[in-house]
Amino acid sequence: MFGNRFLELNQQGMLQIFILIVIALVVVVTIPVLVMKVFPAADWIMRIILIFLIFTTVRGYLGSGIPTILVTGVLIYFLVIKWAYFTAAVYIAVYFLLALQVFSIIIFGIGMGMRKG
Amino acid sequence: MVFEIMPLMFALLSIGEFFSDMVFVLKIFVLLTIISWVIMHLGKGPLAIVLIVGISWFVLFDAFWFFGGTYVLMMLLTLGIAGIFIDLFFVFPGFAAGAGGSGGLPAEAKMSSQGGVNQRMQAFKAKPGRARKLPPPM
Repeated sequence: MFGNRFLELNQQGMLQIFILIVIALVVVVTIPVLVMKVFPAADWIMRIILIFLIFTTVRGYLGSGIPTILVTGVLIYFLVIKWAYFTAAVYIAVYFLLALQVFSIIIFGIGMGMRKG
Repeated sequence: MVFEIMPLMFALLSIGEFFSDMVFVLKIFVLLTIISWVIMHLGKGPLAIVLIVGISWFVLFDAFWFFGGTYVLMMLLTLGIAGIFIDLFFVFPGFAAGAGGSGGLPAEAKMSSQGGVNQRMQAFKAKPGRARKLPPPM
């Protein structure tokens, strides 16, 4: 089913546009990592945002208490201290591109830009 | 020879470390979901604790190969990745083909693009006997 769909889209030159969309997605996801590398203040601010996000998420699951502090600490070590750039990229991809539907705007913009009519 | 392949070994070890760390973080989130779900239904009694331990053992250690991917898929669907796929495979081809534009190619996606909908509406209205008869003016 999907194989036929891809073949059909490829015949209409859609594969190149899909590649453009993937490149746009990679660029948008890479931007926060570059900004964190170039500007140390942005690095700190993004880490603080991630800490707040993790604490709020865990408190939503477990409520206020010692287990929340412990789980938050473990998650902060792995996600904010050890793999901060990956977490920042995932945060941008998930919250801005998926939850706020920004990726739909990117697809819409590329589609209108490649329009033949 | 050993020193030449050391960067590659470090890269592979780093990838493995990253993967294992992310699996651990994913397990923590799955555990949080289980705890939240059980407490929401049963409160914080001893039965809830037994159930949390049992479900966690099964989900995290026995069948995580299934539940890990299922949890990620569920989270992505919750965040609306299905809309992205609909945009990519149905709405976007219609726009790129010039749907609704003047002089463009006919719409590729007939069911979801606005151009396809307009064409079907015009064809529907053009059929004899299909147009709804309005009541006579009072």
